Amino acid sequence: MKEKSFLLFSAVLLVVLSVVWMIPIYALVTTSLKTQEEVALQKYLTLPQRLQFSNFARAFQALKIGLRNSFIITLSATFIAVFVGSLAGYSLTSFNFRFATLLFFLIVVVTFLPYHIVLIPITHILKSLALLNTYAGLILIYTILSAPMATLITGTFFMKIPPELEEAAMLDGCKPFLFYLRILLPVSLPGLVSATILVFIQIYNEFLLGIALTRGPEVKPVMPFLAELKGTQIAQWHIQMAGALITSIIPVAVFIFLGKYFISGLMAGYGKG
Amino acid sequence: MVGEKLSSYLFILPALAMVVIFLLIPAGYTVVVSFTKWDGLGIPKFIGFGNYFQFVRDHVFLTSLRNTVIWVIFTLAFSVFLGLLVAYFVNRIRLANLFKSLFYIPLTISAVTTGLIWLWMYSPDLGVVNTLLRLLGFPGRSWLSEVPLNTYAMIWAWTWKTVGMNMVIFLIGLQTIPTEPVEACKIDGATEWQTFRYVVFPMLRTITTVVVAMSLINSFNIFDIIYVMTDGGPYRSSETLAVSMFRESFVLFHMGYGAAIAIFLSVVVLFVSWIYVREVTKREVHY
Repeated sequence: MKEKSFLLFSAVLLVVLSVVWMIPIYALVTTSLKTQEEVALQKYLTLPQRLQFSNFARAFQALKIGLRNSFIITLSATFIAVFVGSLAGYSLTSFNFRFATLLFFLIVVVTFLPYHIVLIPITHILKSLALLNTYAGLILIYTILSAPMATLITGTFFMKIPPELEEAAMLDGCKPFLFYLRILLPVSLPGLVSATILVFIQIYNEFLLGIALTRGPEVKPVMPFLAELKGTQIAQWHIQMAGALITSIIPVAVFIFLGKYFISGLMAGYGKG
Repeated sequence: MVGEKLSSYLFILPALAMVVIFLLIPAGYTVVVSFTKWDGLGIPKFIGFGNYFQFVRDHVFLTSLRNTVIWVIFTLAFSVFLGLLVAYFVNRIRLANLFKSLFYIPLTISAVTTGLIWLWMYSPDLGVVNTLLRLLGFPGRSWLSEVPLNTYAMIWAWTWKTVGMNMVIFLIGLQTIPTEPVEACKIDGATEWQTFRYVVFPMLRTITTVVVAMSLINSFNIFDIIYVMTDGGPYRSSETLAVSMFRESFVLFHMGYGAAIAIFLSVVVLFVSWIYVREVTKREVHY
C-alpha cells in the first residue's frame, strides 16, 4: 500500500513538473507562429489563428550571416579539436597510470576554468597576429578551448580498449600512428561521436568569445546575432521566438538522433567513465 | 619500447603546445595585467595589488560578489535538488523516457536562447508568468527590474535549463546501486523516506560530489544568460563576477581591474575544482 501511494505521489509530482517545464517551450513555439497583434492581446494560452511562417523567414533573414559563420567556425574547430584531442587521448593511455591520472585531472581543471582568465591576452594575441575578427582566429581559439574536453572524452573511451590489442598490432609491425588511425579510431567510434557532438554543441552555443573576438557582423557567430535580435527588433517577441527556434533546431536535432552519444559523452567528460 | 614512448610524447605535443601557448601563458599574462592600471591601448602602469585592494571599496564588485554567492547557493538548492528529485522518481516509474526527454530538451539549447525565452516569459506587460499570475488572482511583478528578485528570476531560468543535466548524472548513479539493500529495507518495513535517507543517498555520495561540484563551477562561470536577460542591470545590480569582468575590461576598458576580477574568479574556481578532483580520485583509490 505504501509502495502504491509513493508511486502515485511520484507520478503526480512528475506530471506537475513536466507541465511547468513545458510551458516555456509551448510559449516559444506558439509565439513564434503568431502575428504581433495576437502577441499583444496577452492571450498566450490560445493557439495562433493562422500559422505565421513568415516570422521564420524574417528571423532567418536577420540570422543567416550568423548561421553561415557558425557553420564554418563550428565545423572546422570541432574537426580539428577532436583530431588533436584524440591524438592526445591516445597518448594518455600509453603513459603509466600515475602520470596519466595527473595529466587527466590537469585537463579536467583546464576545462573548468572560466574563459575570462584568457580573454584579455587572447584578444591581444589575435590582434598582433592580425587574426582578430577572422574565421581563422575564432577557429583557432575554439579549437584550443575545446581540445581538452575532446582529449578527456576520447581518452576515457580509449582506456576501455584492452592493451593487448595495441601489443598485438605492434608485434605485427604496426606503427603507433597507423594503429591510431586504422584500429583505435574505428574501434572507439562511439567515443569519437560523443566527443564530436559535445564539442560541436558547446562551440555552436558559445557566446562570450563570439562577442569578445569579433567586430561587426562579417565573421560573428549566430548566438551574438540572436542576442542582438532583442535590441534591433524592439518587443517583436514573435520574431525573437522564431529566431530562438531556428537556432535551437540543430542542437535539439542532434539530441533527438544522437542523444545516446550525448549522454555517454557527458558522463565521460565529468570523470565518471 | 623507446620508439613507443617517443610517439606518446609526440601525440600529446600538439594539444599540450596549444594549451601552453594559448592558455597557460595568457593566464600568466592576465596575472601581470591584474597588477597594472591599463586602458588597453596606452602603457600599463604598475600599481601592485592596487586593483585587489579596490575590491573592498567598490560597491559594484561587492554587489557582484554577493550575487555570485546567491547564484551558487540557489542553483544548488533548485537545480541540484530538483535534479535528484526527478531522477529518483523517474527511476521508479514507467514512461520514464518520456519524462526524461522533457527535461533533456532545455539542456541542449543554448544559454542565449534560454535567456531569450525567459525574457519573454518574464516580460512585465505581456509575459507568460505575469499573465498566469493574474489569471490566478495575484498581481504581476517586474521580474527583471526589481532587486534582488531579478537574480532569483534568472536563477530559475537557469534551473529550467540545467535540471536535465543533474538528473542524467543522478540517474546513472541510481542505476549502479544494487537492488538488494533497497529490497531488504522494504521487507523490514522502512518508509520510502528512511530508505532514501539511510540507504540510497549514502550510496550516491560520489555522484553527488560530481553534481555539486559541476553546479558550483558552472554557476561561478555564468555569463550568457545574465548578459541577455538583464545585461547586469538595472544599474549593475544583477551582475555576477563573470559579467563584471567583461564590463570592466571590454566596455569600460579598465583592463587591469577586469584582469584582477578574472584572477579572483579563477582562483575560486580552481579551489573548488581541486576539492572535486580530490574527492573523485579518493573514490578511485577506495574501489
